[in-house]
Amino acid sequence: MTDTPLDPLAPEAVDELLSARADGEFDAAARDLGMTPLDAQARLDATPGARERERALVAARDAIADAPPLDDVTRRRLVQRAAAPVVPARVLGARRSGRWLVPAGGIAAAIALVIGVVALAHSSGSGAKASSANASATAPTQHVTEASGQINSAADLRRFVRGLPDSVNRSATAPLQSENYGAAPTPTTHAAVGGLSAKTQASGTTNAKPNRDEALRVDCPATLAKQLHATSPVLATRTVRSQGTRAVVVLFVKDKRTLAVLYDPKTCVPLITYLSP
Amino acid sequence: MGTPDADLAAAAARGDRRALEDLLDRHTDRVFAICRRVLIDREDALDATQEALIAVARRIGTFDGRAQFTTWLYRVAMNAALDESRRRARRPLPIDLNTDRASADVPIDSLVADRVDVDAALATIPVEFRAAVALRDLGGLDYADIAEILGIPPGTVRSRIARGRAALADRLGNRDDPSHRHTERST
Repeated sequence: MTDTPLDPLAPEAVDELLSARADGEFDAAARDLGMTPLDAQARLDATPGARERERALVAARDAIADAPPLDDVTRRRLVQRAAAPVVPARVLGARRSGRWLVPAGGIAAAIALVIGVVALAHSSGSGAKASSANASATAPTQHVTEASGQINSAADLRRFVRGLPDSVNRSATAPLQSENYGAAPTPTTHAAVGGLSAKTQASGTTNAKPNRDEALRVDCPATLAKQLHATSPVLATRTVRSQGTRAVVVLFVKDKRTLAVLYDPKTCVPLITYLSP
Repeated sequence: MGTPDADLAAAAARGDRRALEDLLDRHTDRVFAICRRVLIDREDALDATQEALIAVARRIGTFDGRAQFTTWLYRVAMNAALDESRRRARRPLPIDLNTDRASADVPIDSLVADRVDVDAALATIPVEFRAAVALRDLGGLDYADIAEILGIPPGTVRSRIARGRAALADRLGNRDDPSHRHTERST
């Protein structure tokens, strides 16, 4: 440094010293700038406006620290979501072996619906769109396999829900009629979104039993609906990827809001939940 | 003073959900505030806060009590905020102005002032700088802890904090009276 001890300091050095002093770090800052604390103080004293600048920096610090608190509802929701217990694997196992009894009505209807899932290929061709529209009129549960979907955070899930086709969102907010969920057979579409190929089949045309994965997937939404106190059966499911592995998003209604749950289909463990505003 | 954080954390690690909720509830405002200052956008900050709280809930058993709980918590929060920032950078989204609305108990004038001054000023510096400022001015961590969390030398922490505060000081000075700016900064 070419300055003499009483030369004014450069603005950056002034800010660094004064900011550090506000945090009780003045001596270390002075040494890092190649001065003794006494020299640094002398040069600050020789710098015009340093005292006012110090007041401005302290005011800035206080303004940064003065963050408004969350409202109680939002805080409670954040905490409860975080603290919500996950579904233990043994519960799922017990249920599959018939030892876990569940109310037959809504959950059974939801299971039936997930089996008889309905296509929704909003970015596919017009034929798929027409199929989707027809399907949504008879059975609101929709399943789309999205090859390119990556959901790794609550933010991703929120964006995902926002990006769902309007028909799904309308389903999520409209009053639900339970009889809608008993209609079968319903067409099933696995559509790869984003210009990839789509495969459509009618679930009523096959009696094949679901494989183990599918069975798990069918069980999970009902488990989650109960666990998360959803006020509707399943509205839609979508296969995505999360952290590099396959995961499923399932949509319910809860208290007139859309509840989206990203879960691991092998364990039924919810990974991320999102409740719309 | 209620139950110490360390005691609540220990109880939460043993499966006491009430203790976990109490612990999270106690610190959620501060976690959100840190995320908010780092990310600027309120919705992004809420997402990062949620991620942080979930991470704490899942990993509470790994908290060994050697450090302060808040130091551990703010490290998790900062990771969540920086992760969110990276995701946002990869996938820019249009700003939804309606999502940054006031909570009922915050006077609108203070909210506007907060947005105009603090957010605008902090938005002029890189996110890594905002992280240092948030950990210091909201988390109350010392420079050494911030350096460890961010993986940078303490001297870098100090300069980043100074630059963040200076950005706001300059803006406040500009708003009140430009002639009161005593040190011009190159940004």
